[in-house]
Amino acid sequence: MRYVLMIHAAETRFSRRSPAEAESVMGAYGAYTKELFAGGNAGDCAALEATTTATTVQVRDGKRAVKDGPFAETREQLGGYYSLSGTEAEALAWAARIPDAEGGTVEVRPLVDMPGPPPPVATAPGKDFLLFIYEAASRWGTMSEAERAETLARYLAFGKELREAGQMVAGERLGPTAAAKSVSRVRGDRVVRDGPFAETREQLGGYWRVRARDLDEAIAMAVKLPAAETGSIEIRPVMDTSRYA
Amino acid sequence: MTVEAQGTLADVVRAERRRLVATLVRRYGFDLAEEAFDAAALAALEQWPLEGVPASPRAWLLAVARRRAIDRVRQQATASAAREELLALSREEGESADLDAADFPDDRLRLLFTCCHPAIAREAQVALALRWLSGLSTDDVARAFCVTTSTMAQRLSRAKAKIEAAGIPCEVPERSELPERLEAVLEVIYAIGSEGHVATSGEALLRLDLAEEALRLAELVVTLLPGSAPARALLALLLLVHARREARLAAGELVPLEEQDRSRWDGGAIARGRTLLTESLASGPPSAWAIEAAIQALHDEAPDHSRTDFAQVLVLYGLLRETTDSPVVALAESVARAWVHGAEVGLRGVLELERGGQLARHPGLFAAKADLLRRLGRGPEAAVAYREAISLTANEVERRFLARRCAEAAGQSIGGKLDRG
Repeated sequence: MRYVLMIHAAETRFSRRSPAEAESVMGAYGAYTKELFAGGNAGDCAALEATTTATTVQVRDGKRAVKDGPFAETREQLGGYYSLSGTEAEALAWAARIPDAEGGTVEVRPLVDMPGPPPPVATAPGKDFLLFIYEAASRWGTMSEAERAETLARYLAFGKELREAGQMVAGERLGPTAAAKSVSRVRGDRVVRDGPFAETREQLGGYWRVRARDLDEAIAMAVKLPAAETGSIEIRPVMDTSRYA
Repeated sequence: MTVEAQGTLADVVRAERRRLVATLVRRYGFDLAEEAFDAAALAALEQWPLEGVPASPRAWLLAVARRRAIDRVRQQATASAAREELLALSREEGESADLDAADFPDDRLRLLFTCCHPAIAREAQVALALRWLSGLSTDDVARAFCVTTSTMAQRLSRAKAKIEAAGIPCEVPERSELPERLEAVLEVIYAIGSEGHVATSGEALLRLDLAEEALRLAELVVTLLPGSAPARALLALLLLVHARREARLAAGELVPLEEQDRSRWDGGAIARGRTLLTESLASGPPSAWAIEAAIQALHDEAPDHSRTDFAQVLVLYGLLRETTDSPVVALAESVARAWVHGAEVGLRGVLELERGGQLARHPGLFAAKADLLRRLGRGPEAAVAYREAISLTANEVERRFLARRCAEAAGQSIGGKLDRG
């Protein structure tokens, strides 16, 4: 099984760090990432720029609506993620070791395998953006068989176009929130509870990590996602953490 | 070097600032662009008096500012990133070897589109445009928004960080996106103009400066996108309103449209506004900007308020209402209707808007309601509405005007009693 470990914490937790603290936390992430990837089971990971740099897009009646800010203005925000394959117990163990599990929460969600080969290495120039898909969790269940097939075909076509352009880094569909577990560390002890980090009507249903020239190109990609018409796409730039690697 | 000559040089440098900062921002980011220009300006003020003013001050300033920026990039960049960056920079320096008489209007337009990018909140768009295109200081922008300098500094730096981290490009959008993106640009310019239109005693000059800045930006868009009918209409609208600036104040007090001395209106601005409006209307169905400009043109054309073609004004408001469900437009329509069908009819519309609740914090709603009640001779009720309007108004000149009217309305009731007695 593959899992995504999503790191949620108060944004002030990141922004109020002194440069020395930030350096030390990023160093801890660097060491953690190195160890996780050395095991050979890691998929992808990203540290996201602050939500002040987020952009949310929707398409309604064929018109795009672009707004400043994240999908939901909440005190705690998604700051980054890791994906890996292994057992749930392994995923929970790795989640508990994430530096911000202390003080924050790591939501562990299974990933649903999509048809098609894994993405090739993105070759296009530019920077990485995450397109997070927020939709009513019930939506997929209320769709007819034909609608599901059509939606799936559109996602596959989207992925194919990105692959061919060398702009696809990762694309994942998340399992239901019912299968989610939330992990944190309290004074060093692991605490696991059932359910997602936040119980909301609209939930993160999947994400695409794309390589784009600039925000305009990322927006142009986001509006092509079927979920842009029924939900919202939050675009977050990926932080450059190469110097901690 | 005389003091006057120093002053002239400083003027030359200031005139180039807006233009060249826009050019530098594109490559070096906001802070470095300004720092590099200021360093070049300082060098100019030291060297030009001794060595003479160069043939093209602009090219000189740009070359020096670029060198300064490159030096800074060298200092800042880490070893690996620096090599790549320097390669790009040296290529660019080669490209722009021919700087003589170079004009870079495109860079200002690019920067305007960047500042007005839909992924930036509207308030921040206006602030960015004032700060980076108009070259206002953070202090001045803060004053325009009635917030503290530190709040504005924070808002600006957050928006700059977003532009840089989120990769908002410094480009004029593609043709297919242009109409939608241009609309945001026009709205930002209009917002700057509206801010300038509200005169305050202490800050009257700054507000006039904003009105003129909006005109400058609108001129820029019209020059650079001559085919855009909405841009032309916006410039017309700004001119047709700006034309009345002198008559809007008498001895520091606000004069409402119906009482203004129309001989003090700026005939040149009205004529130019009308020409632009006609040109805009010639190229297809009217934009909302064109309809608003046409309404202002009807006011400007009337020899006195009572001879305004209000029937036509109402037709135009009808058209405008089809393009927007803005309650502020509905309010303006009700006020115009009162001049045609009587204050009673106008008041009915205003009261309906009040019940709608969308304008619960809008001083204009209560000022209009008060004025209509006053005209109907319902003094005590008018006074209540005036007091409501005053409590919602932050502008001192407007407050004094409303207070004066409020006192008159309160006196009206006494006068009424005396008449009957």
